[in-house]
Amino acid sequence: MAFDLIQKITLSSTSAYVEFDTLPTTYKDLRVVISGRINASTNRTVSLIRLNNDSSSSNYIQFDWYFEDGSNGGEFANGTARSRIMGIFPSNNSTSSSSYGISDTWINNYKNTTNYKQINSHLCSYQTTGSWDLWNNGNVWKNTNAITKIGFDTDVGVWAVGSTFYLYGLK
Amino acid sequence: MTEEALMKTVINCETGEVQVLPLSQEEIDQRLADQAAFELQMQQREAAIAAKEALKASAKAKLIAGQPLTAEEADVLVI
Repeated sequence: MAFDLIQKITLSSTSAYVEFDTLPTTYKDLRVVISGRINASTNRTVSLIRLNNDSSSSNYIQFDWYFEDGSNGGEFANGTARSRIMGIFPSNNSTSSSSYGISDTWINNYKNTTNYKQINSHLCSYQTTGSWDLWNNGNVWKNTNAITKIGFDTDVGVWAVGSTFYLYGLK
Repeated sequence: MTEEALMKTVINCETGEVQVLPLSQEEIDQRLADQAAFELQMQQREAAIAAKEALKASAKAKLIAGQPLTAEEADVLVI
């Protein structure tokens, strides 16, 4: 099993939203890896996935298991939540400029026009003040359209310069 | 940073072209809604954890004192 790198971008200016548009139709599954950091004045800086420019939370289902700072964590959402949340990335409010979180997101059968789309993300975020987050996250996009765009929002702040987004395809 | 300065980066996977564009007002409004929704989720989660810890502490104190537990207190002790 080998993934092909389809596109990669390293931000040279801050951006509140990063999107891969006009996705190729030659692959079966897609994978997005983000090495990212968010410029914000708070520690809890959340990334949210956006498919086909659909940012309506009611069109997504969220499942999460998370750990935060060793004393807080567990089930965050069990499928009753309607949200696009993936998890928390490091914030420049509490981390050095060399610290980036990493997420790995898989979307299978993205071209199919029969089923809702399932998304699975793992995210690790360590902040140099000592706080940290580990998220295992699932989302369902309640739409049967083929996915043609994948984007990543921040809820506060912006993706920092140097954040890198890799899009891979699996045939 | 003002919300007016928020930008988005769009990569065309077919051509490799990268566009940097301002967020629309709709996208800015959605950010605020997402932020509020996440904060509410996190507050509810933390309140649930605090309530469970309080029940555990109460159950422990009653066990030490030889007092009967409530059903809720017993639940947090049974694995």
